[in-house]
Amino acid sequence: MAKIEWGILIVNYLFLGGLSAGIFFVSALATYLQQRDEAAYARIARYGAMMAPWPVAIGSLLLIFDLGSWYRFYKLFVHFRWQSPMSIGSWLLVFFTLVALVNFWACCLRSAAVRSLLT
Amino acid sequence: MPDKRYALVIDSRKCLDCKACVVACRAENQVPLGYSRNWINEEHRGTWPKLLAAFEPEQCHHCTNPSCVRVCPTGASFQRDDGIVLINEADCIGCRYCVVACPYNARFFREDKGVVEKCTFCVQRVDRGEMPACVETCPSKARVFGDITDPDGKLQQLLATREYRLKKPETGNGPQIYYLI
Repeated sequence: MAKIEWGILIVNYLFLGGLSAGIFFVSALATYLQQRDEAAYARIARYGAMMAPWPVAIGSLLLIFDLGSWYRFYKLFVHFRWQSPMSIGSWLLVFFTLVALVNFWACCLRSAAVRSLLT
Repeated sequence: MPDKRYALVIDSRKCLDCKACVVACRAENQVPLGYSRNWINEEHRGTWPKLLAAFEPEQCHHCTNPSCVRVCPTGASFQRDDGIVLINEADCIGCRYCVVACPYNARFFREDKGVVEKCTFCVQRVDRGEMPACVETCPSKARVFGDITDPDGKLQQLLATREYRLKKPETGNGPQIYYLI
């Protein structure tokens, strides 16, 4: 039987990635379901946007450290090979993490109340 | 038809399980103990007194449509025009996707180097006009290596006169180790 190559780090990343996606999705839903031109569930939308980027960011770090030569992880972003699910996945992760961070900034860091909450 | 494609024809009826090929590979390619670029599959059939032990050498099949090359995210795994599949160690990040993708479990991860490794058909020897170490050392001449596209070559001769099988052809990888049966 073949050796198991992807272990606990990958398992944890899978959970964290899904967690971020779920939070982001719920936050987006709460933002875009509108009542009288404003978010129907504003607090869910805001807290969701705040929480979404972090699990996937941590999960991505776990992925980097699972690599046999982790310091070479940047090579993933020098190439895009559409036939490789790993290449597609790496780019998607970066893309989603960035989107989640921008979403967090756009929704929350611009509001004075929240900024004071964070500082 | 490509210009040239290297392949291996193995007559496993001749294999003695002497493991000289494993030793030769280890010596030629500095493969440390605990890892192996090639191996012998043992099959025991029947019950006493009708017993059969069959030995079948295996290593990277240098497929025509290698899944390991396709899944590599950095392009470290690549295939030469002559069919030999190689790993550019400098570009390998050690993600091990190719190890998972290979239907033959031919690849392995080197903990000490942080990269993946496999049989290279002794490309350093082949490029000098020599045979791979495993082929040269086999005492029962079970292995024949050469250009499978050569109409006058030994490989085509053997495949024309003997029945043979491929391992896991249903994967669509197009393996290039032919087992004479």
